Amino acid sequence: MVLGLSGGVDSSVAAVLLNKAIGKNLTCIFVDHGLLRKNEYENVMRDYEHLGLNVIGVNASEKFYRELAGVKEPERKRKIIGKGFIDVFDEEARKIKDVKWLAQGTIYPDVIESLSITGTVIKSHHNVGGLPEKMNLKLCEPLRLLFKDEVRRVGRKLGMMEHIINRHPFPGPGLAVRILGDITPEKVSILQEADDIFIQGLREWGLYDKVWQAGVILLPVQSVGVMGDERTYENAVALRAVTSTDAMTADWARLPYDFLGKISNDIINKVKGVNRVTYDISSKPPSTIEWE
Amino acid sequence: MQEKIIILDFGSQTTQLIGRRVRELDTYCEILPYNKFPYGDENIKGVILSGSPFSVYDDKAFKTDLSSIRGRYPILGICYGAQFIAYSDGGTVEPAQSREYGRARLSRFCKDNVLFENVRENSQVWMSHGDTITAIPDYFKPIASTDEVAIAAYQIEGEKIWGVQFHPEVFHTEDGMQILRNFVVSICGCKQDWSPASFIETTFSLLR
Repeated sequence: MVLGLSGGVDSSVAAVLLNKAIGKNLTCIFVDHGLLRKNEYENVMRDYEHLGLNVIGVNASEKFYRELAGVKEPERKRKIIGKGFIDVFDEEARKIKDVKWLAQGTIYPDVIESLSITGTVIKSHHNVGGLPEKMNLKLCEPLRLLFKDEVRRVGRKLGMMEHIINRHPFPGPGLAVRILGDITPEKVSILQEADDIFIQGLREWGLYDKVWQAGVILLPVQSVGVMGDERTYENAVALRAVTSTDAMTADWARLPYDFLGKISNDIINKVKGVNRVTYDISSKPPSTIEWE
Repeated sequence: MQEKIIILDFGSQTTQLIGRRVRELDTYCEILPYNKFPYGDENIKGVILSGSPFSVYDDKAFKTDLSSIRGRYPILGICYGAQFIAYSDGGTVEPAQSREYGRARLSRFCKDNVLFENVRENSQVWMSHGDTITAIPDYFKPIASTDEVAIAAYQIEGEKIWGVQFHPEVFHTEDGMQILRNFVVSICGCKQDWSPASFIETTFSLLR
């Protein structure tokens, strides 16, 4: 059986559950598309090894950077990453002998057949669209009957570390949807540094667990600044942090001014290429949590 | 086998929330489209009918035949679910004079009805409806009212069928969990044995 790990709660809990049940018959694949948070790949791999999982890590950053070069349109970025992920996963999985099952961390809200207003029953999408068909494998979704909070309870019962259980949701295409406009390795690196300062700051100030989801958005905007005796013309970033119970609705987090001031200062001083920091004060609806 | 509550989905925004609340009561439940009742499943202990964006008078309103469910399982109708049962039995559902969205208080209710066991007086409930039940057959017993709505809840006499106009599943209904607990535990007799540990155990044996 193979399973794609994303670093998120659902796939991690699914992996640990399956590992306890079928042990070495499970191989996990973790694809680094080069759009993860700073040091996320190394940290998550260490966690997975600590959990006793049999994990193959694949660094496919170059492939994704190459295919994304010059692409600005959000929907196309998502498609390229989705397809790229399937290609890399498929290639790795084929190297494993006698694979018959594909496991996914699908949860109940993905499975419930929802009624549209016209009365037609729609089946919602699978976690990783198109994979089972392409690979001709049978599908195993051990969490398909659980709600998110139940997945966390099961994870705790399985003895998983709190920092994995309480990890904020993170979009599948990763930082690609937090870099508005086209993606370059330089922009990814700027965003990773700024994001890391924000997230570590939330942890240090004891705010991480009070927020549903947080991150930094690199804006396709440059603005004038003064640093020392020089005029600068550099990037602006937006900090985004929301509170929510289910992601259906969300409100911007009322983070303390002192905290925001400290983060702004740190980002501008430490991250080369950023000279302006803003805070996003929009709620969902009418806005969304992510910008793309 | 794992006992369960079936939630029939008539398209409400809060159907998933009903499911989550039932699970919080350590009881397994499944949410299914309104017309896909799993006849023959022997583990069903009770049925909840969700709300709906439709009025029972809409041409497109979701309707289903409850005759093979009635009498076999306890039923709780929520909002449209309650209106649909009343309407099917010849009751009257009408557009409310003032559409009611938001907070209301249970100013009068039958304290001795099992559905309202341990519910506090004047407890806040959350309403979200354009239609309201204005007349019910004489074997329907009104069991709660708010200042705006005379029939905020009913029970069918001699049957284990209840209807509530408000939404017990939302956070703003203060004693909503108590009402759902009364239905799931006291009325349906669920043993509350669904837990992470039981899930892990069942999943292990299935996987192996």
